[in-house]
Order: sequence, then structure tokens, then C-alpha cells
Amino acid sequence: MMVDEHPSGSQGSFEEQFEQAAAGDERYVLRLYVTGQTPRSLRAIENIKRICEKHLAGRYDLEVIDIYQRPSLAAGERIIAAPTLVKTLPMPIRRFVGDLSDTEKVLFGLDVIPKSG
Amino acid sequence: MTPAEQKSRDELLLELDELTLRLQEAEETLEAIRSGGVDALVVAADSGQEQLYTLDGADRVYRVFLESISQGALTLSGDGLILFANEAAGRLLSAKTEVVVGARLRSFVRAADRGRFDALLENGLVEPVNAEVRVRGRRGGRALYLSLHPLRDRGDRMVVAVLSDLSGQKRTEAALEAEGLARAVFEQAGEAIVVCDKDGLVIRASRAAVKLTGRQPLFHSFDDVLPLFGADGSRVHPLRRSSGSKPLKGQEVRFDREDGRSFSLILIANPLKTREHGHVGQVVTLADVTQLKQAEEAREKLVRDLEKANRELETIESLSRAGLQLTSIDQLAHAIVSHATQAMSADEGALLLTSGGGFEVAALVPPVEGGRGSLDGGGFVQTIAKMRRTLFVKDAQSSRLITADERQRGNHSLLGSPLLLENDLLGVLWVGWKDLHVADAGQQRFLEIIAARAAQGITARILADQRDEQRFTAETLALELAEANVNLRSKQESLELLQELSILANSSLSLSEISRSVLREAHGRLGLHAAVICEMDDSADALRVLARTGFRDDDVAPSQLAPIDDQSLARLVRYGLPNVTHESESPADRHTTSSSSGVEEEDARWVALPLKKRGRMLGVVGLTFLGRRLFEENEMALYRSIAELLSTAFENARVHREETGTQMKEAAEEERSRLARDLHDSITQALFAAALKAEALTEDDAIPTHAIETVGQVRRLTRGALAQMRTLLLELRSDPPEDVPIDQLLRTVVEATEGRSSIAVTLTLRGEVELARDLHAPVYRIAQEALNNVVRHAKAAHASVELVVEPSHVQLLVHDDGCGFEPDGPVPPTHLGLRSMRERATEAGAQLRLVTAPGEGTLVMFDWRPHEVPNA
Repeated sequence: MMVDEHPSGSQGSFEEQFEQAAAGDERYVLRLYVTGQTPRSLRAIENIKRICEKHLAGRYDLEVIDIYQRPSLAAGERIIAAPTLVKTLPMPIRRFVGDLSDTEKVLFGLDVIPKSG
Repeated sequence: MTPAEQKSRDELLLELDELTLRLQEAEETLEAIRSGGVDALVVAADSGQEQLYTLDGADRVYRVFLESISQGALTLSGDGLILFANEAAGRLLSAKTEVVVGARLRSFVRAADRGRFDALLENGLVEPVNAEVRVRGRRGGRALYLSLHPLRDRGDRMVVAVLSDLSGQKRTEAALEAEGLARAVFEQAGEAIVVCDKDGLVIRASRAAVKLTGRQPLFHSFDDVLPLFGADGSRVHPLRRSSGSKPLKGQEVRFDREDGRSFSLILIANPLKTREHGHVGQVVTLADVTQLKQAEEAREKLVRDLEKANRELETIESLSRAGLQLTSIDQLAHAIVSHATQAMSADEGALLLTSGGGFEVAALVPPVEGGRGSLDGGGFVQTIAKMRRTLFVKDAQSSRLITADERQRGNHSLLGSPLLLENDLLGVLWVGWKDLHVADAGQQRFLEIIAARAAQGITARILADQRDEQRFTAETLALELAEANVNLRSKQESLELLQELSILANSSLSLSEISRSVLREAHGRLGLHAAVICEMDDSADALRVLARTGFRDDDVAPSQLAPIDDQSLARLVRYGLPNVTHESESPADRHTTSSSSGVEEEDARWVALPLKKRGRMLGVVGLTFLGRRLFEENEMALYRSIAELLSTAFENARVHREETGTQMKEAAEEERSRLARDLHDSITQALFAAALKAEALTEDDAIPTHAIETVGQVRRLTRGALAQMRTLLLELRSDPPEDVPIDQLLRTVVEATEGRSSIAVTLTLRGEVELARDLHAPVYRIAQEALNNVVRHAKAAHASVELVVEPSHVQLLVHDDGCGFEPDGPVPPTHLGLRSMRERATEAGAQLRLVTAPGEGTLVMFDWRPHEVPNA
């Protein structure tokens, strides 16, 4: 199933985000740090994409950062291993290291009420 | 607190210290790793084995390579999810790689191409595919070349995608193509095209431009290579003119090449601008129209010449038309000179016609006060007349040809042409210009043509005038002829009658018989209402009626003696003058002369003529006609002739009664001769006059056709009349038949017959011996009478007269192919001739036989044999 979406790459203003968070229907801003095309990286991308599409449809912004391509970004976030998923919004910031194959764990860690189906 | 809970504070503090240490260690380790202090990590792999991961490896080169190439490199999952994208991919997809990875490639494809992309991806999972797709982005996105390769990585279906930007390539290709095209056009263009830079240097020149300049123009200054001049001779600088943004369009310039050739060019100059750099130079196009211009000039000249020729033709045409319409030579001459002068824009013109030894001015334009007068022609005209050709004098004032008179007229230039008609000089036509004028060959030719037409026209006019006269003459002649014809006819009829009467008058010596037969004949022929012939009885001083017709018996009885108590008769008798009454002057007259004749009911006219010879009254003949009118001269002449005949006959009879002998005979003959002469004179004159006229007419088509017919008729009638005349003459001439050769006698009769009828008569004479003299008269008379009958009764087309003279017999045969008659039937009263024929035959001792039948013609046979006893 292909889902037609337009990747915006933008996050809107802070106020908007706050409002969204206050409203309870928060927008998730996620960053996934990967190392090129290593197997776990690829798996992580697939997994998070799946999770987002299923449980966070329409209210997430996902960025996938290849730390080979952007090593500076990795240092800024103090990433030491890949793949690592960082949830920047909503607060608190949480990290997950690994290929994110354990969906429950990820959801729990992200404070996402899983959607059934 | 429980014992567990009662862990000593000390124990907890110790645990805490430991933990802190451990944490510190962990953080240091992490720090060490992060700071690059380690090369590798020891990690438990999936398989449970320890796996070593190095951080800095050989694939670094490939990563650098991937990031440096211009193509976009992507790794896609089986769903089309982008799992990896290099920098270039992000650029091509117009997005940051952070959002490219994790998105689906499909979402970057333009909506229209998505279907194709899906199919592409599906195929790409199986085998390499490539195609063009358009992706979204600014300015409508771009076209990308997408290459897909399937990748099997540990059982997962994945696709490696390579994106190439075509648009740049495409633009380059398009540019290259355009450039190629432009170059081809440039080279093939017929015009010289020169591209100059901002400084006016030639940076591009087409083949035609090189040819035009005659040298290699590249990198030379345009002005040096192509100096151009305008129509006024001033220099033209196309680069300067159009260095603003206005293009220079379509100016005609002249280029003088170094080798001397001149070209007419059409100049177009446009500024050259590019998007990036603005105004960079000029494009100058020069179209060579030299030949075109020459052709144009030649065409214009041709058109001018044609127009001129056309005008000249029109002039000639109108002249010709005028010539036909104008009624006089003067008008024609004037028209010719006016047209010529006008058409040639001359100031003066004249037409001179030859007259006597010199010339007469027929027309002068503009007209001169006081008439035209005559010129002796002067030097110019004389020269033309002598040389008989067109002459042009450019400067009359200083030419030796021109006389002082002509010079005085003030013309500077003169052009003249002779009017010739088959070598005859009719005149001279000339025109003059007050200012210097050069008459080219065309104008000279033009005047020649007009002069030729003038010659024709004037000749035609003269001829037409003559012809009109001729026509008039001819018509008059025709009328006269018609009249003469009528006259002739009546004369012919008169002659015929006279001939008949003459025969009758000579057929007997009995006056009453003669009178009777004459009246009978004359009654019908003359249309008499009544007539009477009387003999003068001297002793009784009265008129004895010898014969009458039209009168009732009790009015005028034969042998009746009418006393001469009538005034008119008395006058007639006494004075011997014919008495004519064309209308009764008094009822008494009428009554007297035509009492009980039945005429008194109607108007009548009558004439009484005396019969006298040698002063002696012998008798009277009176003729009455119906209708009141004057007797015409020819009628009177006829009646007089009849009276003459009768007079002669009466005299003969009287003489015969009284005297015999040669003397008397001579006297009679004398009378006859005189009569013959009179008749001859009067009639022949008329005949010959008519004949002369007929002969005098030439076969001219100016004579109307009816006149021509009349001419023919006249000729025929003339011949016939002359023949009859001869017959009549023969009748009345001195020579008796005995003295005239028989062939001449018979020929006369035959000719006379042919002349007064349409019967063809043949004459055949056979025999060894001459006819006896005393047979001349009977043969002649019988032939005459027989032919007479043929003419009057037979309605024949052919007749023949044959005379055979042998020692043993003489035979005369007169045959006709006419209607014949019943031989045994009652003799028609008009066939008196038969009796007289028989009488003559008997008298001559011959036999007369008649063979005829209705429809079978008639044969009269006169048969003489010697010693034969004639039949009774």
C-alpha cells in the first residue's frame, strides 16, 4: 500500500507545536540517525516508517539523517551508535538505539497509544 | 523499617560510589568512542558470535564517490520507500536528504507520471529498467532519467535507483540542434549575412557575404569590408544607425566593389541580443537586387514604350475612323494633322498635297489667320518630296535644308514624312517643335505610319468622291436605260405590227381586202375600240367605207358612203391634217363621229388620219380608243406609219387601176424607199442610241444590279429590233426580191424571227443550182408567212427553214416543234396567212402542203417541180 503524502520537511512554529501538544493530539517530531545503508539502518528506517504510518498517521515529521553524510549533526546530538531514534517532540526528549524492530517497546518509549488495526 | 530496608546507609553510600564509578567509566568509554579514540567496537552479532565493527573502513571511498557524483543515487525498498539517498538525489528531488530518506519516491513524481512510475518500480524489482520521469519542483519540476536495478540483499527485495538530470542535457541538445540549424540556414541563405560584434567587427559571414565582398571579411571592420551608399550618394553606416534597439529595415543601398562592379542591395540590420548578456552585436542582411533592379528598369522602359505605342495606335485608329466618317478631304487632312501634332506633342503641323508642280496646304495646325494659301513647299518639304522618305531635322535654325520662310515659322526641330501611294507622291506631312526635340526612331516610324494611312485615306476619299459621281452617273444611266427599254419594247411591238401590216398590205391588190385584213390585225394589236378605213371617192366627194370594226352595222356599213359634212372630217379632207380628238369638245362631235356606236356612253378618244400620196387624198383611217387621255408621240408615230402603209397600198392599187408601167412602179418604189428611210431614221436612231449606251457602260460594280440586267435586255432587244428593222427595210426597199440573193432574203427572215421571239431558227440551204429569180418572191414570202405563224401561234421553241434547190425540184420546208393545229378543222380567222401562202404557191406553179397535228408541231412544205400542173 502506497500512501500518498507530501514530505514537508518543515515543522511549523513553536507556538503551533505547543498548541498541538496542549491539545493532546501532538505532533511528533522524530529524527532517526542511521549509518548509510547498513542493514540495521535500513531496517530501522522501514520500521519507524511503519510505526509512524500506522500509529501517528498525519501527525509526524520524520527526518532520517545519515551520519556519514552529516557527521556534524550526529555530534551535536551526542549520537554514539546507529541507528538511534530521537524524539524531539513532544517533550521529554527520548532516545532509542537499535533497529526499532520491537514496536511495543518503541511505542511505549514514545508515549504513543498504539492504534489497533 | 524492615531489615531489608535497613540496608545501612553506609551500604547505600557504598553502592552509590560504585555506581558512580561505573557510570563514570561508562561515560568515559562512550566519550572515548565518540571522540574517535577507538577504532572498533566489539559487538555481539545476531548469530551470537562476537562481531567486530570498524568505524573507518574501505567503503569510505565509495561513500565519498556516491556523494560527489552528480547523479542521484537511491536505495528503495520493495514498496518504493527511500532507504538511502545521496546529496545529488536530494538536489534532483528538490528536497533535503533528511526528508527524502524515509519518504516514498513516488511522492516526488509528478502526478501525470505516477502510473508509469509504479509500473517502472514493479519491473525494476525484477530486472533493470530505465525511463524518463518528471518530478515535482520549482518551475514545473524537471525531467529526470530514472534507472532502476533490483538488489537482493539477504532476502529483502530492494531496488537501487539512479537519477540523472536530463533537463540540462536536453537544453544542451536543443541548443546544439538550434545552433546546427542556424548555421545551416546561415550558410545556405542566398543573401549575404554578416554578424558583427559590438565594436563593428565581422565575427560571422555567410558564404554569400564572402562572395559579395570578394574577400574574407572575418574580423575586419564592417565599414571597411562593405562600404554602402544610399540613393543620394551619401554613405550609409548600418551599424551606427541601428546600434540603438531599432532595427534598420529594407533600405536600398549601393555597394561598389573593389573590382569595379556595382551592386544594388537591400539592407536589413537587426541588433543581436542574448538573455544573459544583452546587446552583443548586429546581424546585417544584404539582399542582392542588382539584376532585379535592372530587370525592373527594363520592364518600366518596356511599359513606357508599350504605352507610347498604344497611344500611337489609338491615334492611328481614330484617324482611320475619322477618315471613314469625314466627308471631305479638307476635314480628313485637318484630322490627320491634329492627331499627329497632338500625339507627338509638337507645336505645329501641316499636311500638304501635291498640286500642279508644287504643293497646296490642305491643313495647318494651329490654323493660321487668313486661310492657308499655298506653299511652294520650301526646302524641307522639297527634300522630303525628292527623297521620298522621312526626314528629321534637329536644329532647323541652322540647317541648310531649311528655307528662310520655314525658319521664320520658328520651329526648332522638324519631322516630316511623304504621303506615298505606290510610288506616287500625294503630299507631305510634317510636324515641328518650337524647342529642341529629338525624335527617336519610334517617333519617326510613327509619323511614317500616319503619313501612309493619310495617303490611303486621302486616295480613298478621292476615289469615293469619284465613285459617288460614277454611281450617280450609273444610276442615271440605269434609269435612262430602263426608259429606253420601255421605249424599245413599244417600238418593237410597233415594228412587229408594221411588219405584219406591211405583209398584209402587200398581200393583195384589193383595197377592201387590204383594209379588212389590216383592220383585223390592228384591232386586237392596238386595242382599238373601233376603227374605220375609208376610200376617197372623188366623184362623189365622199368617203367610202372600205372596212370597219367595232361599229354596229347600222352605224357604219361597208361600202357606205359617208358624206363629208362633218367639220372635223372636212378639215381633215381639206387640209390633209390628222384630226385628233382626245376628248369630245361638244356632245355634237361625239354624236357625229360615233353615233349609235355605243361609245357615247363612255369617254373615248379618236384619231383620224388622212391617207394621201403626192398631195392626193386617197382615204381616211379613223381609230377610236376608250379612255380619255392624250395620245403620246410614239403612238402617233405608229398610227402615222400605219397610215403611210395604207397610203402606199392605196396608191399602188390606184396606180394599178389607172396605169401600168415602169414609171408607176418606179414611183411606188420611190415612195417605199422614202418610207423605209423615214422609218429607219426614226427608229434606228432610238435603237442605236440605246445600243450605244449599253455598250458604253463598263462592267463596273458601281452600277446597281438591276441596271446591269437592263443593259443585257437592251442589248438583246437592240439586236432583235435591228433585225426586224432590216426585215422591214427589206420590205420597203427598192430592190425587189428577185434581185436579192435568196440566202440573204431567207437569212433576213430568220434573223427577224429570232429577234422578235425566243425561238431558235436554223437555216439550211442545199443545192447545186441557183434558185430561179422568179421564185425568190414566193419562197421568201411563204417562208416569212410560215415563220410569222410560228411566232404567233405555234408556241414553239425551235423552228427550221430548209431550202433545197435542185434542177428537178425546189423545196422549201418550214418546220416548228410547237403545238400544231387541226389541219382539217375550220381555219381560224387569224390564219389568213395560209390562204395567201397557197395563192402564192399556185401563182408560182408550186404546191403547198401542210403537215400538222395537235401537239405534233407543224411543217409547211412548198414544192415546185417543173411543168407540173398546179392543184386548184
